[in-house]
Amino acid sequence: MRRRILWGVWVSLWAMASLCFAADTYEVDPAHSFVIFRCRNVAQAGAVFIYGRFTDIKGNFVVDKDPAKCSVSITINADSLDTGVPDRDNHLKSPDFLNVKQFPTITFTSRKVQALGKDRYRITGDLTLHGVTRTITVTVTKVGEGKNFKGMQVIGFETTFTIRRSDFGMKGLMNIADDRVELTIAIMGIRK
Amino acid sequence: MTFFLQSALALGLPPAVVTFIGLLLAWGAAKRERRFVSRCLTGFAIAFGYAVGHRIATGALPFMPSSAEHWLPLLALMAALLGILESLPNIPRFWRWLWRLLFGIVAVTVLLLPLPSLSPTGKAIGSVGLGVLMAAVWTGMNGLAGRVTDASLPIALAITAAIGSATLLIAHTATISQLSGVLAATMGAAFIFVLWQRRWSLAGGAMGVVTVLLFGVGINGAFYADLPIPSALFLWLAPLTGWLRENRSVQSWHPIAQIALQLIATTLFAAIGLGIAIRQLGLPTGGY
Repeated sequence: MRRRILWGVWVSLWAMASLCFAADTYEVDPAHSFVIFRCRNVAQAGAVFIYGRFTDIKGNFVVDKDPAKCSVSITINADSLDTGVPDRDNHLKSPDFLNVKQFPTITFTSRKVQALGKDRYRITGDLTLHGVTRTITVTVTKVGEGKNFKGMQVIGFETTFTIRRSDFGMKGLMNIADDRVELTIAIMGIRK
Repeated sequence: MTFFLQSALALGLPPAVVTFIGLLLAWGAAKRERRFVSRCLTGFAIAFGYAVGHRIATGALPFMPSSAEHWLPLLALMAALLGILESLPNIPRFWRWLWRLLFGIVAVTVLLLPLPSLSPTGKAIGSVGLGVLMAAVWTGMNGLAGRVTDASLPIALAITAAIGSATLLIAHTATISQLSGVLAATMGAAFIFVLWQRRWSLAGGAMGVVTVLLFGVGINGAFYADLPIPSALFLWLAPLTGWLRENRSVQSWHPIAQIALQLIATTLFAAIGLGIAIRQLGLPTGGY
């Protein structure tokens, strides 16, 4: 009898521990996630940055106490680009830059997550843009987590990094838009 | 204005110079009575001239193209190689038609293949339909190049490509517009060369190269940018207006009047393509 009780306690503790430390899967909430970019406008003597965003973002990520078990996968609809000027949007979507009819999605898939300290992580992963995949490393900061007003568990992360568009096959029109493009990705996920 | 002039010079001059040098080599071969070599070299001169301009416009000249527009220099080179067969005498018309048709279908297929929004059936229909049209335009232009022995055909092609460049700019793609500008520059060089070397013919190796480039920029503009298909059709057919000169009553005109008719008809045809694009897309606001 005593053995049975001990065994029951052990199983219960194990189950509770598993629940506490289980990896949580979050789905990207498009309404509270942002992919923003800025690029120096060389045609305007480099006097201004053009800012834009992608409005259609999907994906999910796994959060675990063990960074090695964390992962993230994001898909951006390249056609959802918006800079506020329709002619400029059409140009940026054309074969001159993103070529969205040929390459309709931009994706990022993590390969490795490392903890850097409190709420900071280094994520290495594959960024596929304009049909070209490159491995990049970004530093991600946890913005916050908790239950939202609907009682759903949410968590948010943010990162800013710079890429060279020429690395992704967009080598033309350097006299119009700078090679360097700064990207800010801010995502909030809702636990599944 | 200075910005556009500088861009046009930086983009147009190198391909024009390379084409002209290539044509000089072809002329040198012709002077040594090597007509076959000369006809082949004419095609390669235009293909290499275009490749130089393509490299300047896109910043790349890959051997393994990752996007549709990067197939253009390779297709031009393939057409120049096919020009070797084209330059052979005594080949039955059927065989010429057959390889032009096969090449047209293959060229359109590789250009449409990377388009995810088009179904496999759509790609097959598009490839066959546009491939047949390309072969027909190639045959028409080759026939015209064999009959017209003045500089009117290269200048008509230069005008078509230049108006095509403006049309593609309205279709929101500066890069493909520049590629059409590069084709105009190579044809400009051919025009100057033919002005100097009267009776020089572009028939044989060159017409396949020009046709595949004309269709290549049009297909890129229509399927990957916003160029209306009717605009592309008018641009592709514009150089064929030179056949008006084969009309008996026109042939009785003064040669200058014939050339003027050809150039006005070509310009009008290409301008209709431009007009359709402006009507559908509006003029670019620019300055953004």
